[in-house]
Amino acid sequence: MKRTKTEKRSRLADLLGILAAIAIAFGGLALVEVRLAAEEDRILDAGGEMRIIQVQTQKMEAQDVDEAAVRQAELTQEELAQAVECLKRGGDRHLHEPQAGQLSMAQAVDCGKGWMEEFLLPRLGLEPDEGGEAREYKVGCFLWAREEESGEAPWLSYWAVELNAAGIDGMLILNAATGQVMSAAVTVSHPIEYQDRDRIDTLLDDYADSFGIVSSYSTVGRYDLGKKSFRKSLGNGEMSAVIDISSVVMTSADNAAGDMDTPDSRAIYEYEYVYIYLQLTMTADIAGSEEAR
Amino acid sequence: MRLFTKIFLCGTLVFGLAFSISGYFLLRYSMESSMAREGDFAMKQYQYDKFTVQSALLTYLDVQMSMVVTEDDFSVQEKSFLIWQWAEDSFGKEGAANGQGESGFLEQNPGLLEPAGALFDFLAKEISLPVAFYAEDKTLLCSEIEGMDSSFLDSLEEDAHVYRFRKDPEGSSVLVGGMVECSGWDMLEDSAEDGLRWIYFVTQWDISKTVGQQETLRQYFLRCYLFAMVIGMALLGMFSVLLTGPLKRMSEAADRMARGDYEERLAIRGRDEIGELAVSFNRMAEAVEEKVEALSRAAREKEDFVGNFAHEMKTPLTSIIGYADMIYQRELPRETVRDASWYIWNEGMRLEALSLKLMDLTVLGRQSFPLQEMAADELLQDVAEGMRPIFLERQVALRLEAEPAYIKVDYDLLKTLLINLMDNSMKAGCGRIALLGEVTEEGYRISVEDDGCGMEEEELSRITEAFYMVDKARSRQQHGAGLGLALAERIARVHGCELMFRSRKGEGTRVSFCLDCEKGGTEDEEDED
Repeated sequence: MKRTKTEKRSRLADLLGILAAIAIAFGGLALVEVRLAAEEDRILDAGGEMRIIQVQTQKMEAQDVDEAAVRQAELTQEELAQAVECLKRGGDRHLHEPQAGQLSMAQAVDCGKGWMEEFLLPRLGLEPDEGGEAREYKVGCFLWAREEESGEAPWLSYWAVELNAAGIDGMLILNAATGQVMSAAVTVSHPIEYQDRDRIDTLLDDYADSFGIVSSYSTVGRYDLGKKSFRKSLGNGEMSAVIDISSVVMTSADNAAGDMDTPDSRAIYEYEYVYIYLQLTMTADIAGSEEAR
Repeated sequence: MRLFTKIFLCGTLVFGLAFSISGYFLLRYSMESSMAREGDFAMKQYQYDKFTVQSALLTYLDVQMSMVVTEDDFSVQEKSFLIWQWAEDSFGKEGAANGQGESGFLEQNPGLLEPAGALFDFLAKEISLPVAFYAEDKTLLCSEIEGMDSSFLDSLEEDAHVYRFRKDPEGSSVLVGGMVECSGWDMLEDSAEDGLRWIYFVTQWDISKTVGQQETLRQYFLRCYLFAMVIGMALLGMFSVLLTGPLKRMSEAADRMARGDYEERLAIRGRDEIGELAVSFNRMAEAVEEKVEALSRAAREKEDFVGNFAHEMKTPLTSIIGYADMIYQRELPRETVRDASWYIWNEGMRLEALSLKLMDLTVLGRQSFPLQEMAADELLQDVAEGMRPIFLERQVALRLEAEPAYIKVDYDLLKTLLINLMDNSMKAGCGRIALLGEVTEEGYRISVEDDGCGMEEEELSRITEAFYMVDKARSRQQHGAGLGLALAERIARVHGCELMFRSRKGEGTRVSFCLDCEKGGTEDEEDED
């Protein structure tokens, strides 16, 4: 009788043990579910703050422009080479607010507009609008740096300034510290004098000189299927200023005679779009691409 | 609780805990990193959109400033393209075209020049994400974000962006807010204080997809967990059965051993702890079996001793009783009385010595005794004299023929051996007994021959077994126990020889054994010790 009781107790304990094992298995899962739901609620109820290091105002003061001009002269050849190399190198872009020693957006836009209006367009024979008024530009710009160089040095950030005006579309990359135009891709649909070699040479010379580095090498030109390409080495030849010019002519017919829908009644319009690409780059990169060609 | 249940419970506990904890931390890490990534994306996108807004505000400023400076009709200026774009968005193409075609459009629509309203609506459409704009005093300027609550902007400082996750029934998102400077707008206003200096800009980054992915991941984990636990518990059960199976078999074997089956052994599989346990169990079973066997043997030997002792007491006592009776019943000469008394004394002493030697031989299993050299013919004569009263009583004729020689024997044991052999002959119903001693090439051969009933040849191999009796009824009638020849066999071994039996049914039996001898040697005693 005693043995039977012991056996019964043992069987009950076994049953309870197996039930406990199942409870542990499924209880653990339920616990995980509850904890994860709580965790999700915690995360989705959370908020935070991201500090921006020294946001500058957009207000453009005269002295700021002067400071920018002074800064242009301060960038050494090594810093400039570093900035060019960083610009040409691939990698993720990190957008950020202007930091200490960097131009504000308004300053960058002013630099970009100034470069377009006072440097590029006059050298291509395109004067300001009648009455000497400045063009109205639609502006889009953002400040970025390579992910790995972000916040390292002010001159390793770049303002991308997009300027759109009637007949002019330009994308300028400015050094965030100095406002120097590191590269400019401009499409102009106004008539300009880009066929004149002297004008191109002058433009390239002036562009190379704008970096404040003595140019000791002659300009090398290249004509390739309607594309003109010139370059000029800077300083010790490590960097070069390059200009590529190409154009495309688009023709369209317009119904000039109103109701008369005949070929004779249509006027033919031609639009020439000139694409100008100015950039400061590493000479080794150009040599490599020229060899590849 | 059985060991099976304990292993199952512990295994499930460990398995469940490990899986739950690792799954929890993995999913939490995945959720946190996903949300952190989404937060990062939201911040990056916010920065880009903020630049877009700032750029647009700059353009707007330029346009407005030009207007203020020129005071021309806006519709005739080519540079007002952006304003016309607003106009198209705000008033439709027709209205814009009318305005462009006719002078005074802006005069007809003065609201266009008011800084808020149309500009922020336009910007909101320009930006791909849902956005909201608030004035400095948190007045809503424009909002595409449903259910937007600006309270999270309260903690916003000038040099920071704030973000907050938001969970709605429609979906989850990240709200990012910051301040955008609008300085310069005051030029358009009568008073600088009335104009906007700052606006709050908020974007909403949709993370519903990521939250959905996390939910999918959780569901997937749930299914994996259930599947793993079911399979794991089944495997645990199997492993538990496999692990406890040998233990159960050991328990059953131990039970059988407890019931007296000492030959029970376990089949050894594997070299693990259970295998070692099985080896130990088998070793223990072997030791127990040996011990039990030894104990049984010891018990049997004690029984043998008691039986042997009683058996061996019988013959000397018969002699003693015979001689004592002779002295008591008859008037005998002094010399005869002395001889009879000597035999009584001699047999008494022999009994005393014999009891100790039997103890040594049977109980202690002693195999070596000190042998003494003595004259074989005298020894045989002595035995014959000792048996005389019994022979007389049983009317058995004794023929003694002994060649002189010296043999090394234990006097008491050899005498016991010969008495046993002659006693057996008398039990076989013989009328004549011959006690022979002869020198042969092998040694000194002592033989006991009788003309008793004899034995079958197949019985000869068993007659030295203890308690074996050829004719049980006859032996018991003569108070035999089947121990005499077993003892004789042992005594022969002590002397380095074996008993040889030759018998034929109905004709008689001859038992002989051969001792080392020295023919015609001296009588010097040599202590073998």
